Amino acid sequence: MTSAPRQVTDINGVRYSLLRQLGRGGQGAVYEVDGGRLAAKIIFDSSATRRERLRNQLTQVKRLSLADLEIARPIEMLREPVLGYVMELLTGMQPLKALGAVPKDESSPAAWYIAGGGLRRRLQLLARSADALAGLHGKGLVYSDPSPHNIFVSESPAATEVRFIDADNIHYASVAGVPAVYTPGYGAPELVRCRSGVNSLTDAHAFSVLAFQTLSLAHPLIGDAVNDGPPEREEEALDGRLPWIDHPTDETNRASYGIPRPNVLSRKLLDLAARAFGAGLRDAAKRPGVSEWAECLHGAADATLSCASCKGTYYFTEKLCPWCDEPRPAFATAAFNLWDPSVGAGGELLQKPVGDRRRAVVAAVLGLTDGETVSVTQRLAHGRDGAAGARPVIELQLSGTRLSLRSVDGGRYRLSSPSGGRGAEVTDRVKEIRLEPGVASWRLHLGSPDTLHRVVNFELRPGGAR
Amino acid sequence: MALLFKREAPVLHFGPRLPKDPSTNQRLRWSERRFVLWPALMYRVVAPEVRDRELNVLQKAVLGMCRAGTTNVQRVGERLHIHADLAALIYLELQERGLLGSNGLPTEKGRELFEEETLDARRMVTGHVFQDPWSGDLWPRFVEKLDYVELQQNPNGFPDLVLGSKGKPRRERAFAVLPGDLAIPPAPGATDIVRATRRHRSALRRSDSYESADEDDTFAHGGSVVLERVSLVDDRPTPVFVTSFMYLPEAGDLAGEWHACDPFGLGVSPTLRRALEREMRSSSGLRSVLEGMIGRSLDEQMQDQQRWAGEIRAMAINNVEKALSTSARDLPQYEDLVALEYAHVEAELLGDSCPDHKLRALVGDARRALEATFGALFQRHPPRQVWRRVYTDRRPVEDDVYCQGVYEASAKAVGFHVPLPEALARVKPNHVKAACYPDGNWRLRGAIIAAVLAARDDRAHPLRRAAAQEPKLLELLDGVARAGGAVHAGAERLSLQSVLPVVADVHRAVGLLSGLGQPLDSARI
Repeated sequence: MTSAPRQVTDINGVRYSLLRQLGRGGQGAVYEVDGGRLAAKIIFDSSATRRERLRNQLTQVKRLSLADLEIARPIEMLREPVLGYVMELLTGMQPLKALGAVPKDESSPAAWYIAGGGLRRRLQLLARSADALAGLHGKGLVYSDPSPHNIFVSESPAATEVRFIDADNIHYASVAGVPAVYTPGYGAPELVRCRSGVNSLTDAHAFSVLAFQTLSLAHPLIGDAVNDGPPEREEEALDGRLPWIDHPTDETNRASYGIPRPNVLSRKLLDLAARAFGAGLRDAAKRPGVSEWAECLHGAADATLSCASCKGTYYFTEKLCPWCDEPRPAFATAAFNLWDPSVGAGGELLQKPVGDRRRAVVAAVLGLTDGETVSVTQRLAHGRDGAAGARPVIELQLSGTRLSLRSVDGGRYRLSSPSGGRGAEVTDRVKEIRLEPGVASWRLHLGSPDTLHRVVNFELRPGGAR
Repeated sequence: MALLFKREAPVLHFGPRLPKDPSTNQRLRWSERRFVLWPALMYRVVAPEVRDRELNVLQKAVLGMCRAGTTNVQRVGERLHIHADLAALIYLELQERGLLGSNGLPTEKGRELFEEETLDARRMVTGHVFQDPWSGDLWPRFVEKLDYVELQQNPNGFPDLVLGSKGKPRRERAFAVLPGDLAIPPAPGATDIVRATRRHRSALRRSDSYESADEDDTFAHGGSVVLERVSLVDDRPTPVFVTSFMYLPEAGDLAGEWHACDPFGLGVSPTLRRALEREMRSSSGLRSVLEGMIGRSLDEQMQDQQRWAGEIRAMAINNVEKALSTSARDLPQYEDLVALEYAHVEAELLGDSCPDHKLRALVGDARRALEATFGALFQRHPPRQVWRRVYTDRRPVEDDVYCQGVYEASAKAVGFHVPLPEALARVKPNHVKAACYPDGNWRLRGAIIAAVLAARDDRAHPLRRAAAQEPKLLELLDGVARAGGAVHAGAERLSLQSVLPVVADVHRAVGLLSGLGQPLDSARI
C-alpha cells in the first residue's frame, strides 16, 4: 500500500480526515489531520512480517513514558489495515537543517546566521535537543537516527522549541548485525562499518556532528580534501579513516569553509568537539555523551551577549562583536553560586580551592545585556534539566546600572544585602537594585534559607576592550 | 470519599473564541481575558454524527421524490401539496447544485447527500458528550475528537495552559474551578445523547451559544434515530476540564460588562457566565481572577459608581443654583432641572466618548424639564377653556390657517415676536385642548400654545413678563422641543457640541418663566 486513504480510524474508533501531505520519506508519509492540531504518520510497507514488527514497536513506543521529553510521540495507533499513528502536528516548526546550511542565493551568510536567531538561539536549540536525547538515554532508549531532518525547531527566531519527530526511530540499544537506520553523514563510524548497533554513543556521534555543523556551518568530517576528492574519500571520512577538519596536528582534511570555530564554539564546546571527532571518532567510549553536550551548550548560551549594532549574539569573552566588530558594551553577569546554611554564619557561600586561593563554586554564569530581558530558568535556579529546566522563574533586565527583577512563576524570592544585614523580596512586581563595578551586589536567593540552594551574585562589567 | 475532580484531570481545549459581529462578519476582540478550566464529566458514546444540514426539508422531499422516479414538477407539487412553481424552483436549485441530473434523477452526489441527510442513514460515530457535574444535565455538545492541551503547574497553584503553535507556544495562566465533593450524577440516557447531538448541530448552524434550543427539541423522543443504536461506551464518566475564558470586549460598555466564551468555540455563553457567577459566590479565588481582569474589585467598582453618581449630582445641583439661584429649590420642577443637569455634567465629563444614547437621554431630559415648567405654570395659571378659541362653530378645526392666525394673534398680543416658528404655528387644536386638561397627557408645543392663549387674557401671566424680556422666547422653546425629538429612534446622530446649547436654552427659559436667575449669555438668542 503506497497511497494514503482519505480517512483513517484509530484503535478507539475515532476517525481522522487526512488533508495535505506534509512530508514523505523512504518508510512512509506524514499527513495533516483535519482540525489543525494533529498529524498522521502512515507507514508503507508491504511485508507482513515487517509491518507486524513495526506495529509492535510503535505500540511499545506509545506505552513509553516520554511525556517529559520533547519528542512527537504517537498519540494513538491507527486501526488496520493502515499501519501508522496519530501524533501532534508541529505547527510553526521547521527542520533543524534550515539553520545548518547557508542558502545558495544568500549574499551575506553572517546576516543569514543572525536572522536565524544567531549564535545564542542555535546554542539554545541544540541544548534543548541534547536535553531530549539525554532524557531518552536516561530511560535506556536510543533515538537511533538524530539528524537535522528529524529534529524540528521553532520557525520564529524568537522561540526555541524543539521536537524530535519519527518516534518509530526510538529503540532499545541494538546489537551489531541488526540493520540500523541512520542518515548519511550522521552515522557513527562503527555503525557505518556495521560493527555496532545503535546505542547512546552512536546517538552522541550524530548529535556531535549536527551540533558542530549547526554552529559552524561546516561538517566536522568533510574538509576540502573530501569536498574536492573522489566519492570514496567521503566514505573514508564518514567511517572515521580521515582526521576531522580541526585536528590539532593532522591538516590533511582542513576545511576552508564554515565560520571560524572560536567565534561560535566556547572553550568547553571546542574541547567537546576535539574529543568527539578526535579520539572519540574511532573509540566510542572516549566520545562525550549528549548530557555533557547539553550542559556545555546551555552554559555557552548563557554566556552570550547581544550586539546593539548588528543584533548578533556572541560570547562575552569576546572584546569585539565578531559579526560587526562593534566593541563589547558594558554588561552584567549573574553568577549562580551555592549557599549552604549548615556551614555556619560567614561560610554559607560554598568555595573550592583554585590554585593557592579559594573561590566560590560557580554552577552557572548568565550574561546580561543592557536593555535585554533575560530569564532565570529552573535549570539555572534549581539545576533542573530537561524540558522542565526551561521554565522561567525570574526575569532580569539590565538598564544602565539598574537591574530589574520580577518573579514570573508566582514564587517569592529573597534578596539579601552583601553584609546580610538587610533583606528584600522579589515578587511579581518589578524590584530594582543598583549595581556598581567592583562592588558586591545584593544576593538573590533561589531557595529556602535553611536548605542548600543557589544564590545569585550580580556583577557589572565595563564594556570595550578591557 | 475521594474527590471526583482532581487538579491532574485532563484538560481539553476546543478553542473558545469570541462571536462574530453580524454587521462586519469580523470576530469581536477582547481587551482583557482570563482563562478558566471548567469541570465536566465526559462519557464516550456511540451517537449519530453531528454535521450541518445541507438540505432543507423541502429540498430533501423533492430530492426524495426524484429519487423515487417522480421527476415531473407538476406531480411532485401535487404529491407534496406545494405549488408546482415552488416545486419547480426547488427542482432548479437542486439541479444548480449538481444534485439532480438533466434527466431529473439524482446524481451520485445527490444520492449520497440524500442518504446522509436522511436521519435513518446518519452515520453512527464514536464521540464524547459532557455532563454538568452539579446538575447532571448533558451539555448540548458532541465531539468526536478530543483536543488535549498541555498544562504546567506553577508553585503558586495556578496552572499555565500552553497554547499557540508548537514552535512558538504561549503560556496563559488559568484558574481551575474545582467542584469539591460531588456525587456522580446518573449517566445520560440515549434520548439525552441524541438531543445533545441535535442541539450541537443547531448551534453549529447558528454559531450560537449552547443554550439555544433546536427546533428538534420539540420532539421529546429520539426522532427517527434508532435509540437502540445510541449507547454509552464507558459506564463511568471521565472527569475532565474544558478551557474557556472570561473577557471584557474591546469595545466594551461603560459598565465594564464581562462575558464568558462557549468552551466549544461557538461564541459567547451566557449559561457559562451565569455558572461562573454562581461559583464566584463560594470561590474567592475565582472572584479574584475576575477582579484582576476588570482591574479592580467589583465591590470597589460599585462604591466608585455610587461615589461618581453622588459627585455628579452635587455638581448638577451647583449648576442649577448657579443658573437660577438657590431659590430654584422651591420650584416644583426642581428635580427635573437637576436630572437635566446631571445628564449634562455626565456628558461633559465623558466628552467625545459620551455614547449616543446618553446624548439622546440628555435632550429628552431637556424637554421634560420644560414640560415640568409648563406643568408648574398651569398649576398657578390654569389655561381653562382657552382651547375653545380654535374650536368655533364658524370654522372647522382642520383649518390650519385659521388656527395659525389665532395662535399668532395671541402671541403678538402677549408681546412675542411673530411669525411663530412653523412647528408651533401648526400645532393641532386637539393638542392645545389636551394641554388644558390636568391629566398631564399633553405635548410640549401644545402646552406652549395653550399658555400663550391663556396669557392673552391674564395680565399677571408669567409669559407676559417673559415676553417683555425676551420676545423670541417662543423660538427658543420650539428649539428645545425640536431637539427633544432626537430621543426617537431613527433620528440623526447627536454630538456633544450640538446638545450643549439646548441645556443653556432650558436654563434661560426657566429663568424667564420663573423670574429666577439671570439670562445666560450662552443662550442661543
